Amino acid sequence: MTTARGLAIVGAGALGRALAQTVRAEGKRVLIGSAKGLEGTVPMKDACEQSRLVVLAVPPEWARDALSKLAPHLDGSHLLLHTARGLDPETRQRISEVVRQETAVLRVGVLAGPLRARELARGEPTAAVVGSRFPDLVEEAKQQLGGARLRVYGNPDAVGVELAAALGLSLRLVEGLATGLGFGPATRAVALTRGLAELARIGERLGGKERTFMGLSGVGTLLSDAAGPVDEDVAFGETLGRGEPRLRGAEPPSALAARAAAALATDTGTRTPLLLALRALLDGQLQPTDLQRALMERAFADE
Amino acid sequence: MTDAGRLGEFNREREAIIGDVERRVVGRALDRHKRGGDERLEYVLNEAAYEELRRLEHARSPEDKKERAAWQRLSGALARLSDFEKEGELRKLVHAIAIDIAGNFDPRVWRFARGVMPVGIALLGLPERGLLATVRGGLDQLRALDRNLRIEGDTERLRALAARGTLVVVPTHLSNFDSPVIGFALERAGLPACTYGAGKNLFTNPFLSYFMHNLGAYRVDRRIRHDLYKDVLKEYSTVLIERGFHSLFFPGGTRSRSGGVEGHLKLGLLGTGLTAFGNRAARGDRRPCAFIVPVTLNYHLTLEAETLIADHLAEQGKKRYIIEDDESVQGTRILSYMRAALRTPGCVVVRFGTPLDPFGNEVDAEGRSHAHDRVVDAASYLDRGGAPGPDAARDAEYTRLCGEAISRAFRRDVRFLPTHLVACALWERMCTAARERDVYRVLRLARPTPVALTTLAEDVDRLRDRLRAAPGQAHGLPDSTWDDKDGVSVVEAAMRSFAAFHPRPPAVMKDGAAQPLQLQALYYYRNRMAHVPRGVL
Repeated sequence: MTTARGLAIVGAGALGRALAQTVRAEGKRVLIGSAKGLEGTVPMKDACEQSRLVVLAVPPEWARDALSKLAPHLDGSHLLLHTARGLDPETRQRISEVVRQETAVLRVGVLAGPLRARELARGEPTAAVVGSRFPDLVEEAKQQLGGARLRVYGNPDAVGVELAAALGLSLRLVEGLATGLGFGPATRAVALTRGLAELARIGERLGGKERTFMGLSGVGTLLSDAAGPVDEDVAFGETLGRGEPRLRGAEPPSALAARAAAALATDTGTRTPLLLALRALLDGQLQPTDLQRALMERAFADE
Repeated sequence: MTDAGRLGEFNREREAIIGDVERRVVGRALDRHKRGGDERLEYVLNEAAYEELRRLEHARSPEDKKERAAWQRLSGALARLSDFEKEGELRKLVHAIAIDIAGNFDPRVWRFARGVMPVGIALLGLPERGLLATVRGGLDQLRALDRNLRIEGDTERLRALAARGTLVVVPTHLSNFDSPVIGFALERAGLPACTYGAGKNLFTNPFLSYFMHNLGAYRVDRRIRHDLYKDVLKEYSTVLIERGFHSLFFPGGTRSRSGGVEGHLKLGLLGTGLTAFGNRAARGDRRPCAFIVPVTLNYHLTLEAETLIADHLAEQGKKRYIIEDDESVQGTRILSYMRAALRTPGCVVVRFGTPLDPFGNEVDAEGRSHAHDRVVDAASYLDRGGAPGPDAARDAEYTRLCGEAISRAFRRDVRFLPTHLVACALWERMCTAARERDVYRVLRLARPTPVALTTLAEDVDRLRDRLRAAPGQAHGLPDSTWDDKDGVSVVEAAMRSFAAFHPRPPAVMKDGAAQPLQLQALYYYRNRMAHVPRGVL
């Protein structure tokens, strides 16, 4: 059992390092744990033994592997936060569920919101939300991560925060798609708004709260993404919208998120016409030119 | 110590247990009072008075009227009472509740009950009407239960754990027969007797009350809603577990109305295992002391099937919590049930599941917690910056996680008997034929299509294969008694069982085909498999 109070960030990628830099700027101690022996990092064992709060900052597809390596060094006294913006690709489980499957840790949460490594590293003020049903984890995260550069909020709707962050990435695809189809800001806004409403419905079915999707992990991230540069997720959507050929099997995270969201919608019997149309588009069962009719000619409904 | 194990020492510690409960509940209330706000004593007492006056609004008996008058006096005087006087009222109230809840254990009654086993314990579940007839007629049938009940699970590990700490046995709940059956199964498995909370309504019969009250059962009055009562009840359970009295409660709270395996559990008493562990850890004893034992009780027939499913269908969302007029108070139905249900080999399968710690981790025979093949120090979950400490919100979440682990164990450990398998297969056929999955519409089908015996037998075989092939066998398994029997034998056995007990059977065999007859009861038996995903069905 660790008796330390410290903070460790596992994952020496851009976000992990930017978070560490933000914390250090507040005069607090933080270790970066890595299995690769990179410069400025310590072995995972040391990171876990010297820290009570461990932040796992790796992409979702690496989370299970990283957790299995961390598992021998973690016990019930640890608090674990992850930043993964996505579900486990194999099982479509939330990463907090994977944490409990792979390690002894029960006090788990997710750190989500408009966290951009570059802006964090520049010291620009931003905010994030810790979704966890464990108040002691939320408090510890506020103490360890929070400061003048990063304001940390808590939200006990852990499922909602995690799903908003994980599935919200699918809206990058929606944005690119609308652009690729040649539509302007109004249509993009409609597609994003309705997409978010569908994600919130899935979240509710899975135990989350709709309101959470309107917070930092949902709308906050969506606005940040929409104002950001065009990345591979948006570019992929644009290609899709223009009906250009694409390489099979080379789908970006936004497409994987859209597939995961559509699968969850099917599993839970949730009404999500946009997400289902996206999946049909990705599978080649729907042409971009038919998308407008498929979505716009449905029966009228209340918002 | 008597042969009743730890429970035999109950009476010697009874006063100390009540004293512990009072001291802790009052201590906490006074601490909160000092912090001020909505938790001051006047609010605590006022909430109790308000809830009790609501309950007693239509009081008729002289005792209830007297009680109401006392609450009215307290309610009226609250604003004028000094802090000292309020503390006095609190102490009086907590003492009265603790005395009302606390059980008793008389070794002579215990020996008598065991001497006429299982009748002695069986009587616990049966109310006054038809009692004498039941006693006379039931003896033979209950001896049949002795022969036909089967126990499964790693009972050796549980016996080892019972010697190391306190077992908290949490069975599924289908019938008023569950209490005697689990009591009987514990005895047969060589496990210690448990104390348990029984609804106060079961204490109204003086004869039954005598047995229950002298065998360690404590009284739970579900009509009382105020927080102070719940606080005393939980503390009583905590103290019992902390002191090593093996405990039992039904986490579903009440009998499953639908016939399904409980998915939503009541966590109040479950959390007392964690609190007990936390209290001991805070005193420096980090050894695990509370071991949660999920148990599935699997019957091929349920005594109260018709009443329970009718209640489920009629009152969904507004279920009657206490049903006092079902088959379990009708002597002739009880006898009929015992004749029909208990004389079949393997008629009741009691499966003891893998023991868990209060956090939902599996526990080995040495009492060590395991998280994914690694031993984990259970006390580390209670860490608050270096030492174990209480945290109500954290512990509520741990208890929720433990409840999820119990639900998973229930689903994995449930055993499907021929009546469940056949009802499920037949129900699926009915839905397919009617092109309808809405339960209420299917139930209104005037003439459900008969299903040929061979077709139904094939469906049952396929169902059994799929359950066995499901990943982790996570949805339960067919009862192993029937593993070497073909589908036809299973169908015929189910039909014999239905016909032997139900005046109007859920289904009958006619001209080589299974004809659904009493659809509500059929739906009830089918619901035992309601948690099984459609892909497996």
